[in-house]
Amino acid sequence: MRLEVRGLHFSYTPEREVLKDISFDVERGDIFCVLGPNGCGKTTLLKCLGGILKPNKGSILLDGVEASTISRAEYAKLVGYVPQEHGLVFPYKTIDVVLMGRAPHLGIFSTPSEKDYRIAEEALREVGIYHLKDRPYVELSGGERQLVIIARVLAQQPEILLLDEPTSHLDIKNQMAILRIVTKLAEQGMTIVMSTHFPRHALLFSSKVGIMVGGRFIAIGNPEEVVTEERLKKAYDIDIKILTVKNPLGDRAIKVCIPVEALSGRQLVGGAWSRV
Amino acid sequence: MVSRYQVLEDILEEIRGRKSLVATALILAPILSFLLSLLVGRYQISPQIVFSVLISKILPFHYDVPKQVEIVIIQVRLPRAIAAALVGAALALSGTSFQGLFRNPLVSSQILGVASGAGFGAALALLLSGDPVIVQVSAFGFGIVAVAISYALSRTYRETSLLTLVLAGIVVGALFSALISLIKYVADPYEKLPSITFWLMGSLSAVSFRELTWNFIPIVVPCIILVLARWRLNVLSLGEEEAKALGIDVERMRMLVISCCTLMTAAAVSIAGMVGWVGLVIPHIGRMLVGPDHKVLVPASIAIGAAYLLIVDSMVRIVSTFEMPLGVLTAIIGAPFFAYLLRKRTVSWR
Amino acid sequence: MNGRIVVVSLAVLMVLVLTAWVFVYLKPWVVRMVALYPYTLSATFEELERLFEGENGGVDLELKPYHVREELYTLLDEGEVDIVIAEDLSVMEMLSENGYVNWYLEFATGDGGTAYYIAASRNSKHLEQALAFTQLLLSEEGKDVLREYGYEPVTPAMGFGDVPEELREYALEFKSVIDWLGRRVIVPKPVKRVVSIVPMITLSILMMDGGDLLVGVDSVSPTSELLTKVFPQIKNIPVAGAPWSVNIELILSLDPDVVLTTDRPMEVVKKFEELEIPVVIVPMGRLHCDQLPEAIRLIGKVIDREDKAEELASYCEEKMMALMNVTSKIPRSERAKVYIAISDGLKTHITYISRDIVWIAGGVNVAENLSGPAGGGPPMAAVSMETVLTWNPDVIITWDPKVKELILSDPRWAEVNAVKNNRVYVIPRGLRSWITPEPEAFLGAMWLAEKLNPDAFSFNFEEEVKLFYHRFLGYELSDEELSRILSGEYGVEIPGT
Repeated sequence: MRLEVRGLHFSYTPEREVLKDISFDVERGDIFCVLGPNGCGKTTLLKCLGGILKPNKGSILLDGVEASTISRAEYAKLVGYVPQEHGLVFPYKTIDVVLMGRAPHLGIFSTPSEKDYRIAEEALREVGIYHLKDRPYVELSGGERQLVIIARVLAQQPEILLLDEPTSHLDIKNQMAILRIVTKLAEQGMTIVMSTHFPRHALLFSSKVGIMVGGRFIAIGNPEEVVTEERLKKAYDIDIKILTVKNPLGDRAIKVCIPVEALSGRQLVGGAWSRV
Repeated sequence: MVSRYQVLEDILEEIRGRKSLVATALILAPILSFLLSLLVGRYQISPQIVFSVLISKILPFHYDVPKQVEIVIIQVRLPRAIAAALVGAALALSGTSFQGLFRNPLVSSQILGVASGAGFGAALALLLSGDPVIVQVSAFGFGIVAVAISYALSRTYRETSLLTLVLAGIVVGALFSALISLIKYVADPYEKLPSITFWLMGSLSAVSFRELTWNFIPIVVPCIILVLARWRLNVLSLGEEEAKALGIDVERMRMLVISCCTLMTAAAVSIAGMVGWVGLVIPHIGRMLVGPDHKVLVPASIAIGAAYLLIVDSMVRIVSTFEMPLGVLTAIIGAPFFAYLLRKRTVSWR
Repeated sequence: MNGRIVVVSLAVLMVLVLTAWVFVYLKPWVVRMVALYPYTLSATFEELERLFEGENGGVDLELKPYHVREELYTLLDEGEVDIVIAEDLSVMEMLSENGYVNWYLEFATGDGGTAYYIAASRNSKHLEQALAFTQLLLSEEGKDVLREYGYEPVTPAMGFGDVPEELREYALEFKSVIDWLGRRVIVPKPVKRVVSIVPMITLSILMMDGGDLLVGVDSVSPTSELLTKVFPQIKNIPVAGAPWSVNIELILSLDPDVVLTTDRPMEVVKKFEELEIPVVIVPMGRLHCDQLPEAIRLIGKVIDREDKAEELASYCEEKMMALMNVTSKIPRSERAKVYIAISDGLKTHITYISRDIVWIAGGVNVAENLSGPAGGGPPMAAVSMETVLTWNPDVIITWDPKVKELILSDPRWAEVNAVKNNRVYVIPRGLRSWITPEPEAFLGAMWLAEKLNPDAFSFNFEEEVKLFYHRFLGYELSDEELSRILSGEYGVEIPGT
């Protein structure tokens, strides 16, 4: 499904606009990565796209259909949203959490059927945590929880997937697990919009990158072209070097970003680049 | 080291494991306690007579008992037992729903001030008229008014925030409590005040079929709605944003749950007076037995709530010649249990 | 011859000597007085004696100290005494009760709050001088002496009993009253400003013609419809509150001579004591029927309406005895079982009065063994329908017409004896319901007696009620008012409406 955004504005209070004139397109099977510093408006943008916040101005089009004309339940069937933080108060079992992804497909007075169970179990298998099915969600590790939420959004069977910093707080193995799934979903034809702190992920996994500063995109396009030292400095307000290294497993060269501070420091911190 | 709590947890785990056993128990508990509460009372009637009279009412055969015995069974015990079951179920269910809605296991059915409002309505009617019909209607009406005020107060800007809703509920509850105190202050201490005090402590002693017919619908209809929509409570308990992202019209769903709970609680309070702790404790017992999934928790809460109040009311009836206030007994049993839940480390929420 | 002269001269000499002795030692022109006083006051009274004798030539004041009060009684019995000084009010009260003194004055206080009293003996032959000494003691001169020796003169002195005319300029008059709890309360005499914060006390005061003394009333009385007709002035008297919600500041501003209240809550009584407002406790709410006349007499004593109070109290006693003469012969098993229904019908009254009234009237209260919530809780108990059905009362008396209606319309009550036999009655309501602990309760007893045993009593009840209102409230009830009383229709107005 094609996602178009035209002239989007959003503000919580009339004095301060959080999103200013945002426009972009994402095609079916694309991974659109939104980069930007804390507080630049990434999460707000995703919430607008997810239908959680109502934009003040501008339009969101799904395959050309204006989003505000779609009912909430219908919208949730098309667009899935994975929030950055999810606090569960009650110790639901993992399968119950995933089942909740079936909500948009169920009427107000219905409970999940056998079929919904199968879909939920399938989603768990797809992210590879079927064995955690009956464990209470609250007892899982951070990485497992993130996978559960992704399974839930898969059970929702949307065509557009919005992920708000899906890899933050995760160790490198779990980061890769998530990104692997995201890539796979894109290959299956899902449209993906994902915000991240890591320019590296944008460079490695996305087909399109937007750099957001102060509620505005300063550049959108091909990752190779968009992610430049100059723009990263503008975004994060520190000097960052982009190094091109040879991919030991393939032909294509890969790019990594490292803060200059880390390079010029007396000690080169071994893991520094993995942090950026 | 295995703590006492751990042992209990293990037992509970064991019980939870046997799903069919739990289900059977939950179905049988309210039925058995209903029958029990038909058998006990100050008026000595043997169980055979009780059952014979009951059956003779359903099946077409004649069973000859003194008129007074029949009145005790049909007009006194039966409505009282039905009322206890309805009130217990209503309070437990609205407690469960509110805990899910507010994503807070410490809230109860009174969080939005319904009980204080109803208490005020009853006290006002007792002061001005004393007619039981007016007292009930006034209690029911002011219970709903209190929640409506809470809801209106919390509706700022475009939507209702749960936090402001809870705060508004506290404010409204405090306001009506103060008004109750004011009424108690001006009431004649030898004639009116005792009636008000008794009402506020809660009792089912005066329940007749007349009260039941008025309150049956405001309890049973919301109850059915909530049972049907119970799975949505799971989604609502994820919080506003996630629920929205899952396609739920949170605002409308909240309105529905709050209206249902308010109707039920207001009706329950107008029958039984202030009966505390049921709406707070029963959902926890439910979660201990069947887990947090509202799909099972909601019916379980109804069953446990009904059984609990039936048993407590049976105790009220046999303990002494004068009627022990129901609300006092539910609190005496409920509060220590809740204290135990709070002390327990492996509580059912994190 | 010589012998005769000797004898005569000896006789003359003896007469002379005797006369001289009489003149020198016995001083017949000198007034001799005796004053008994506590040993501890020796120095002070020796000084006062000098002063007194200096001013009053020809008066000889003999001071007899005593160490303990038992000694005082012995001294009083042994000889003539003109003046008695005592250290404690209780001593004086004792003397007063036993007829040694008619009055006494508190004239000074010493260390640790000891109060000192002076009185002239009733048998004194030198009353004039005794009063003169008392006057000296109360004068500035006497006060200076007291101060010199470390006592604080009481100005003006507090007089108790029949204080003589001559002393009134020095003293204010007081009386001491022993209240229901045995507390001694000192109140001015006569009492002019009375505050009552208990409705039953207010009513009793009105019935002994004490309405004009009330400067503050309880919050309930002004809401009684009939009361505002019988005693319209009640609307103009400031409302001082109720025992559990007293307006202390208002009461202070009313400057009462005495406050009448009950002992629950006791904190309020303590508060009054701290503020030195005399407070008399009469716990009307938990009195037995036969205690009520005594309570009425006590109230009468406090507000100086002893005669009216006696009339009211003996009226109550007469009526009670008249009923008892008939009903005490009825054995328990033959008595009608009476249930008092309040509120929704499943609340019942559990005061002693409601039990006693039913018993005096010849019935037995089915709830007689019920105890309510203790500690000044509501005088009601909740019972279940089943309990009532088990009791199966022969007669139900309801608090107001609404309860009666409710009971008659409810199928659950249909098989109760009282309902079946059409013996559900609304209890009459005059100034208050006739089953509350105030004098009208005895009218209530008569009313109920007639309902329970119509044949056994021949009094004209309606005339009796009119007479009661005429005699004790000076109010002529109209026939319409009477019928409203008897049907229990008089409502209670809601405060503020």
